[in-house]
Amino acid sequence: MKVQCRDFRELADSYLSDELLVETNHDVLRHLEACADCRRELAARRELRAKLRKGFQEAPQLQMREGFAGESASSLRDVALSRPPLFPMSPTRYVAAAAVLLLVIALGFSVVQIIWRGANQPTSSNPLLASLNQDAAGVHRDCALNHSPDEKPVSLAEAGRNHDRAFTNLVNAVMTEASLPAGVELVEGHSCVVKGQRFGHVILKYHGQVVSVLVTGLQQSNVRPEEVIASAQAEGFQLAHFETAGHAVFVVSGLKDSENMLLARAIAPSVSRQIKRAALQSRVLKRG
Amino acid sequence: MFGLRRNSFREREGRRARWDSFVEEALPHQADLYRMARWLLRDPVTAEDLVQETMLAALHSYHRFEKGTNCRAWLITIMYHTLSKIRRSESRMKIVSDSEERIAETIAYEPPTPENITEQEVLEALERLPEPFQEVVVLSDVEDLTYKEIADALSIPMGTVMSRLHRGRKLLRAELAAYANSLGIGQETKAGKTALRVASSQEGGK
Repeated sequence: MKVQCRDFRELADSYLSDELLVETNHDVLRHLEACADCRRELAARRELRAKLRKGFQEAPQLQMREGFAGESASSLRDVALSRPPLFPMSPTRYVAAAAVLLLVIALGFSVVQIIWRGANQPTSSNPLLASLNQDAAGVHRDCALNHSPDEKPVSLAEAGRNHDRAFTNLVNAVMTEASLPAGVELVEGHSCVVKGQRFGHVILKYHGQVVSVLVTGLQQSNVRPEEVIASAQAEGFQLAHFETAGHAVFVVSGLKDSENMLLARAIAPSVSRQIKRAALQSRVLKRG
Repeated sequence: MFGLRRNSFREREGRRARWDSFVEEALPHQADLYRMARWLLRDPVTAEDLVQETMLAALHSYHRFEKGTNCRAWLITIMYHTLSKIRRSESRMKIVSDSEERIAETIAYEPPTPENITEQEVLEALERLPEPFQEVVVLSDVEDLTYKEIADALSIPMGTVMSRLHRGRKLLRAELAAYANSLGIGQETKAGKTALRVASSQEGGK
């Protein structure tokens, strides 16, 4: 690039600050060799900069007062060599921090309590469902594990005909229509009675554990919102239960809550469909 | 118990070594910091406060300073951050106004740099520039900070540093040319007249 005097005036300050690219620097130098006016301008700017620096550094009004450097260094030294304070904040801040912490803990506790209550509401607040949970756990223990129900079990088809139409296709609803996780095996399907309450009972095996899917008619429906699956524990078993069309459905096992809930979620749509279908058929038959 | 004593001894030694290093690296720049602070704040007491705050902040974060780098630039950066905190708290942060930018733009001609002027006159001319231009000129031409260091200190982009510096220097030369012309030193140029107008309009605006 050929540097003209006008270009040089633009570049001169950057040249003095050594901020130009090497090539541009060479171009400037070439121009300076040939141009006396620009050499003079450069010298003037250099001098101006030197005066500015000297003027700034030596201006009496900009000098530190005598003693300030010493005072400052001394107080800095005290800070630097002293042990850091055990409580570096002011007491008010600690009080504020403690208050915030307590508030957070209280809020957290309330949230946990609400969640816990939500999950276990039926057991604690609904005596009917609490009692049904106990019954379902009892059926699982006496019938599925100990094979000693109150009465001799009958087939689901027979129970469907004589007692509750919802039991009829229960095995099909659980094993064929539901999207069960891999590894679920059918052991048996029957209807049994425990403490006077009749259940449709499908016994499965999953992860080496016996699992009971139980369906029973409710005298008093809507013990909890329809289709909401809740978990609970009774007699050392894990329970998942939901209500649909006047029936309560339970999944009872010795599995972990998450696994038990997984099975309940898998069977819920097809079992619910089956129960609703049966209820509809019963109504039609009654009208007929 | 002996372990505790050994630890406390080590801590003390660590604090001592850190302080010695701080004395060697940072304290020698206190006078430069004060000049900058005094220039920026125009008041000796607040300038001292600012320097003290800056040195204290530097001491607390001295572990972050990389030895071998420009300690003065590091301290100036801390000082500007401290200053901006103070200004924010006082809600009077200085922003380059449009009119100031326009003043710089009005210097359309490049006046020849006047000679035969004193250091005091240069300082007085510098003082008449809008503050953002003064800052970059001082940081670059007096304190020898690089564009990058100035950008870090002022928390502005490097391009802004370069343009402010360019305009600031131009404005300073124009101020001096106008001053020289008013005293009949050198030739009166069109640029000198423009700068004079700028200078007088600023005076009038104050």
